[in-house]
Amino acid sequence: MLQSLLINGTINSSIYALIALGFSLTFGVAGVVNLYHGAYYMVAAYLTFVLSSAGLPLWFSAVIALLLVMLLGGVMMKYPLLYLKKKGDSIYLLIFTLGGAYFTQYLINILLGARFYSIPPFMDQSLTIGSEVVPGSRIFAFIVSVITIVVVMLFIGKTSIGKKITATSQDVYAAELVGINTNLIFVVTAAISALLAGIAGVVISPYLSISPTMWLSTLIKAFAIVIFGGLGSLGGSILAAFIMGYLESFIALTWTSSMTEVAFLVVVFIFLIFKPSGLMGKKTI
Amino acid sequence: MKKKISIPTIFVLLGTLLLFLFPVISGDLYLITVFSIALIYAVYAASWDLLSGFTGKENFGHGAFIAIGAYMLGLMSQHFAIQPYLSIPIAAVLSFIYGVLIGLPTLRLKGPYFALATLAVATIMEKMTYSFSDITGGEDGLYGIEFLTGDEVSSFYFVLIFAVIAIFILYRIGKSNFGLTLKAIKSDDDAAKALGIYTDKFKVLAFGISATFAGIAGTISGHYYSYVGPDIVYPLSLTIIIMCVVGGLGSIIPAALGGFALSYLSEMLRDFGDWNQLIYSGILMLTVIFLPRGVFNIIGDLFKRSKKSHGEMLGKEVKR
Amino acid sequence: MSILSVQHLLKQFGGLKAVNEVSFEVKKGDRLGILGPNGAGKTTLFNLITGFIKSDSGTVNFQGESIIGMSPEKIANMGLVRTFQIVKPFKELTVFDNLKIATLSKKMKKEIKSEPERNSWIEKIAEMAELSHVLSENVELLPHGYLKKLEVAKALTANPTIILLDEPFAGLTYHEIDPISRVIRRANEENGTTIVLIEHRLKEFMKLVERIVAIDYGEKIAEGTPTEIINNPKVIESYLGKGGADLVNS
Repeated sequence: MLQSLLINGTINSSIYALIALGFSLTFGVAGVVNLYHGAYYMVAAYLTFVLSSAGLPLWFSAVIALLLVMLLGGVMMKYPLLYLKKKGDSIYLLIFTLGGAYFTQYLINILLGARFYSIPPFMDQSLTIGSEVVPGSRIFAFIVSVITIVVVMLFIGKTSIGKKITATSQDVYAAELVGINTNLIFVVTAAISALLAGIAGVVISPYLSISPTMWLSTLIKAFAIVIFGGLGSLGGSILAAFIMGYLESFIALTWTSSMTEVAFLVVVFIFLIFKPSGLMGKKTI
Repeated sequence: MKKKISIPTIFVLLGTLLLFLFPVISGDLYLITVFSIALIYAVYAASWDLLSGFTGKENFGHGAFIAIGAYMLGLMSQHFAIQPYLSIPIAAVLSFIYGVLIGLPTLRLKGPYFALATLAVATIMEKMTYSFSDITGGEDGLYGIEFLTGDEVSSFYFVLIFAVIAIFILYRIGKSNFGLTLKAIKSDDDAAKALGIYTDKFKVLAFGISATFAGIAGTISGHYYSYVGPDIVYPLSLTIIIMCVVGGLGSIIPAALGGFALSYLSEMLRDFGDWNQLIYSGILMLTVIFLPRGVFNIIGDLFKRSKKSHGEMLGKEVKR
Repeated sequence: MSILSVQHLLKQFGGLKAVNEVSFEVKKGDRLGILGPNGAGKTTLFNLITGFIKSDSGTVNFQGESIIGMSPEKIANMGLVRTFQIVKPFKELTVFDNLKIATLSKKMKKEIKSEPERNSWIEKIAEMAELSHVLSENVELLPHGYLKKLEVAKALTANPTIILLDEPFAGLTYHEIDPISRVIRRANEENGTTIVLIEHRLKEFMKLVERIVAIDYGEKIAEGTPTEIINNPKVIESYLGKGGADLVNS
């Protein structure tokens, strides 16, 4: 049992970390709570499904899907989101992005129906760890997630664009003063965020079913993890993702899986009330 | 000091009058039902506006308050037949307490943090409702609730009178010094404190009042359908936000009109099946971008230009 | 009779003592000025006295009662009201409604018995603050000078016993300062309102206050009449740097 918990917990946590990282990035850098984030996850999965069903090779479909989702993320930021952000009241941004996610859900519902789909696995071989036989698709998801997270952290830490992103996240005005094109940074960050969510969506689709409502619980979890981990801290999001991932596996094993979402929400509620800055958050509300 | 009655007010009064006369003019039971439901939504929206429109703290879990009223009724109805004259006061008290209970810990939260906290509460309630299905009926809900009255027409009048009273009360609260203080607090909490306003008390009270009206409306909804269930309670959290944003925040009546109109629209679009919800969310996105002040607020604004300013009404000269 | 007594007030942020054992007394009806260069700790002092920040140690007594640890709204209801350096008008509200908020506190609700009384009180303050002609305007349309006037007017509408004004003249032109200076003086001379004023626009300041407490680096460096203060070498140095006194005297 413990073994199953560790293995599943680790795999799920890495996926959560990937999704949360994307959410945290846009939140921390652009100050935008993008409730559409879960939809990138969904759209990438569906695009991969559609393209590969149309005959394109699986890997190729995935890459095209991710590029399209990146584009979507950038365009969404550049036009509606930056416009709404300038207007002030965050409620409109929240409502617009949430509405957009529902819109996407209903659109997919009309175009493809509400049935569950899945795609063939990227990697067939399964791995036997101890007494568990772990399917190849899960191993693949884990490996891709970890590699992506590492690449992203390196990108942010080492490249010049990465540093510009960090600077913008600390103080937009100061960043502008030193010549950083913050609007461009916002758009780039949004594209990266969408990409991260999209990658997560693509790698889980072989073993989790794709449905038009899959975005909402993913969004809530990502939001919860980022708050828990602390706004402004990418490391905090990753840490929180792993804590929540293991907690979820634990609850699913010992109680019921329907309560796992409650667990997420209770944790985040407690943190919001007592420590809104989260585990490692730098900024206060 | 006599105030002129504005044109939008006349329209609202006329509309209300028409609603009163509708069953007399037309026997269309289907429309009467649609209007009854739309009126309940109007109260949901008005109750949301008093909290979120006035204080600027956008409640993403309004369904929780509706649930208290609805499920209190549903649960009690499983044991004995409870009539509206009893269930409504109970709903009012319970909802008020619940509103205060949620308002207190979330006092320091704003914007997306507050949204998440309130969403969390409502979602936890929703999941619990599904989990403890033995008691709550799970996704099937609870039946056997006393009807409001024997037939559609008198039920309609019951709901109409309730809605008119509820929305009127909320409107007057909004226009009162209490409502004004809420708006000041929304604008600048510290400045209000510096003038001696106990901002926390006002915010918590707004929570309580908002929850009370939502809870009562939820109870009435339960009596109306003789049924309560998660499907007519929790998804409303988002629906009501849409109604208020589209209708317009901060003056109660535009939000209520938004609730009524969108409920009616939703019913009219029902034939379109899945397109219904697509259009709904599309309207929302467009409104947020192009008409953020809200349709009915904007309409009201157009008529305000002809209104005399307060200074002029005091007989003082206004430099233009 | 001391209406406000500040004793050894201390506030530390990390290693920095923003307010370092500041003490002074204010008597009823005084017009006291707090003088000091930017960053001296004047606004922090105000925030400590009015309950917006918690002090680390020291006492603040208002009308004989300790107000340390009280919330800003409670202190305001006792009659101690402050304004903000960066104006905080209630946006989306008219000037009239901005003033009205001040009449809706617990204290003011006891003093004002009816709506007509409330309206005439607001109009009276508006007239004194020379805002009568913009009462029905939305504050977002007002120029900065009017907003500064409104900031003072709001505080006066709360009928305070003592009012703490944080740089009421900042960002104003000379002819915008005069009306505000007049309003402050009138409140003090006609209503007996005690005034404590932070400013570093010296000319206007000097005309308005009777006594000055000079602050630098969080500490009180001098106290006295305006004439004494401007000739005080420590004060001169706080503005001009070391040797500043010599500079002035040469």
